[in-house]
Parts: sequence; structure tokens; C-alpha cells
Amino acid sequence: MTIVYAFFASLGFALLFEIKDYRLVIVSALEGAIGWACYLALSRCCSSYIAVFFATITISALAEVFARLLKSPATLFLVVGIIPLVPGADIYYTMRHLIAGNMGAFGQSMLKTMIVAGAIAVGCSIVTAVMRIHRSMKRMRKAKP
Amino acid sequence: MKEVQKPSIDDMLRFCCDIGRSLIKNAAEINRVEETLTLILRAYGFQNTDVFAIPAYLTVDIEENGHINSKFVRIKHAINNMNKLYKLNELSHRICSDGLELSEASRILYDVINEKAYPTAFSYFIYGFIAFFFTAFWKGSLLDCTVAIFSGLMIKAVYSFLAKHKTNLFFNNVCSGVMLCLPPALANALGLACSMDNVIIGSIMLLVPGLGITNVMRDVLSEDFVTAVSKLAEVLIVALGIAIGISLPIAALNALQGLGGVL
Repeated sequence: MTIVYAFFASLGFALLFEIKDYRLVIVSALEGAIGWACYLALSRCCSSYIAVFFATITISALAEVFARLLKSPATLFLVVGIIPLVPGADIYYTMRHLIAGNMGAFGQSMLKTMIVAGAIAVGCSIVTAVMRIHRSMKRMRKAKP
Repeated sequence: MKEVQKPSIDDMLRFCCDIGRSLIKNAAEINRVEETLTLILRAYGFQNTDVFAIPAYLTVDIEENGHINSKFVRIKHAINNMNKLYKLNELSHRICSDGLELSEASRILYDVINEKAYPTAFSYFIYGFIAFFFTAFWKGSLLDCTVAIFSGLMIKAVYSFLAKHKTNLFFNNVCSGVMLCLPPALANALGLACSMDNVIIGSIMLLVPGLGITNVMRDVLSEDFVTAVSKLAEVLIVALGIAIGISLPIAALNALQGLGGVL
């Protein structure tokens, strides 16, 4: 059920970022749902950081695919797709523990927030790096003959 | 590819700066902006060029017949309009692969820049919509979700009021953080059993800089360290602003209820 909510929440963000073409709105919302489904599936067998990491990789890879299919920048899908994975709840609990004066829990949840954010960042940067190598190889091949 | 007439340097610089500014404002990656501008300049027959961009600044330089011409623009206020990003991307593709006269390209560019965003009423609706579904997403009850709609509307109202008066990013987020706590606190005061945690978590997503987090690492990868650091600073300032904003009303409520804490 949370996957459906993830879809609609991402749909909202797609509209918030002013995407107007309905195909792009639907596809980017789907990205959000797929990313969350990946996360749910992976978090059964490994830690939630690893799950976020691989979910982000999936989203970024799909974003590149959709970007080619629909002839639009990949950023558009990526930005909407990662939204359900962003550690909003962790940021809140970090604050909550600080206010309660519970320093141990505060440190723990702050680290958790930072690791999740880092996992997202590293996940999409890996795909970007691979795409860059791909593009440069293509350019070299084109330049040779 | 069609042969295009070589435009005057002034027109070319103006066009490049305008399209570059628009791309940066709408969350394009910095190194893609530089690459795109270089390709556009080449498509119009300018080979000896240089482009430099950071989120706040863009400069384009053309050397032609021994004369050096350059123009820079100062860029303020990101607007993150993905529709414009999409259309600008399309425009630059057309320029580079089909060949488009500069006058025609400029006409399209200014059409895109002046394109209207979604009407205000609709964006209020979206804020409510997102807050509702995110609260549901984080396992809030139906009542929590309904209260979250008001939190979402509150954020939009505060944000657009402050944006009109051009206050800074940090202050905007502190204020939104404070105000988004009002609807759940009010609901609790009225005797409705809604969970403050769930409502805040759901509506906080509207403020969290997810866009920034993803872009920072990509800039690091393309070795635009100045850009990466300035975006990282923005992300941290926004996060700090939200945290401070939310902590104020919660600490106040705790104090009212006689619960202790560091604040």
C-alpha cells in the first residue's frame, strides 16, 4: 500500500516541479513508486542503507533509459524518483531527540540521516559516472572513422 | 544539418547568457550547461570560445578576429521549473542538430522563459496533496493526513508571502518550520487525537532539499567543486533552518506540558 502512496506523493512532486507533459508526470511518478518498491524488497534481506543505495541506482538507471525514450533530461525523472527515499522522517527524529535532550539517540539518528543522504548521492553519482564513460566512448567511436 | 547565418557577436552573447541563466535557474547540472553553451556557440560558427558557470554566475567569452568579447550574468533565485528545463533542452538539441536561425531560436527561448507557471490556486492544491500522501506514506492515520493538508497549505502561504518580500532562504525555512507545526498543535488543542509526529514528517518533505542532495555529488563527479560546495552549503542551511523552525514550537509545547529538555 505504501507503494501506492509513494506513487501519488511523487506525482505531487512532479507537479510541484512544474512538469506539464502528462507522460512525463506519470513516468516520473512511476519512478518514485518503483524506487520505493525496490527499497522495500531489498530491505528484507540487507540493511536499509544498502537498500537505499541500490534503489537509487535502479532509479538513476531507469531515469537514463526514460530520458532516451522520451527525449528529455534525466534530471527530471531522477529528482522526482528519489523523493520517497529522502530521509525526511530521520531529520525530524534527529530534531526530536535533540529537543528531548536525548543525546545518544540524537547522534545515532543524525548519523543515520547523513548515511542515507550519502547513499542516495553516491548511488546516483555512480550511474552518472557510467553514463559519462558511455558518452565519451561513443564520441571517440564517432570521431575515429 | 542546415547552414545557418552567423549572427553578430552581441546577439550571440546575449542569447547564450539568457539560455544559460534560464538553464541554471531550472536546476540543470552546471557542467551540462557549460557543455550545451559551447555546442550552441559552435553550431553558430564560433570556435574560439570559453564558458564558465557556477550557480550564481555565468560568463561567456568569444574571441573573434583578434577581438575579445565577453558577457556575464548574475543569477539569483532558483525556480526549479522542470517544464522549462525540458523545453530548453529540446531547443538546444534543435540548434545543435538541425540548425536554427538565431532570430528563430531567440523567439522560442523568450517564449519558454515567459511561459506561465501553474496558477497559484493549483500550486496550493499540490502542496496539500503532497502533504496528504506523504503523511499516508509514513503510516499516518486518515485524520493525520487531513491535518497535514492544512500544514501543506500553511507552508505554501508562508513561502509565497516571504518570497514576495525577498527574505533569505534560512529565514524562509525557519518560518515555514514554525508554521507547519501550527495545524497539528491546533487540532490537538481542539481535542482531535492526531499524531503531531506523523503530520510534521509528512509535511516536512515539502521543505527537505532532495534536489540539492542529488545534485551535490554529481557536481563533485564532474569536478565542479565550487558549485558542489555552494550547493552543499545551501542544503545544510535549508536543513538547519527546518530543524530550528520545527524545534521552536515543539520545545514550547513541551515547556507548556511541563516536560523538560535541553531547549
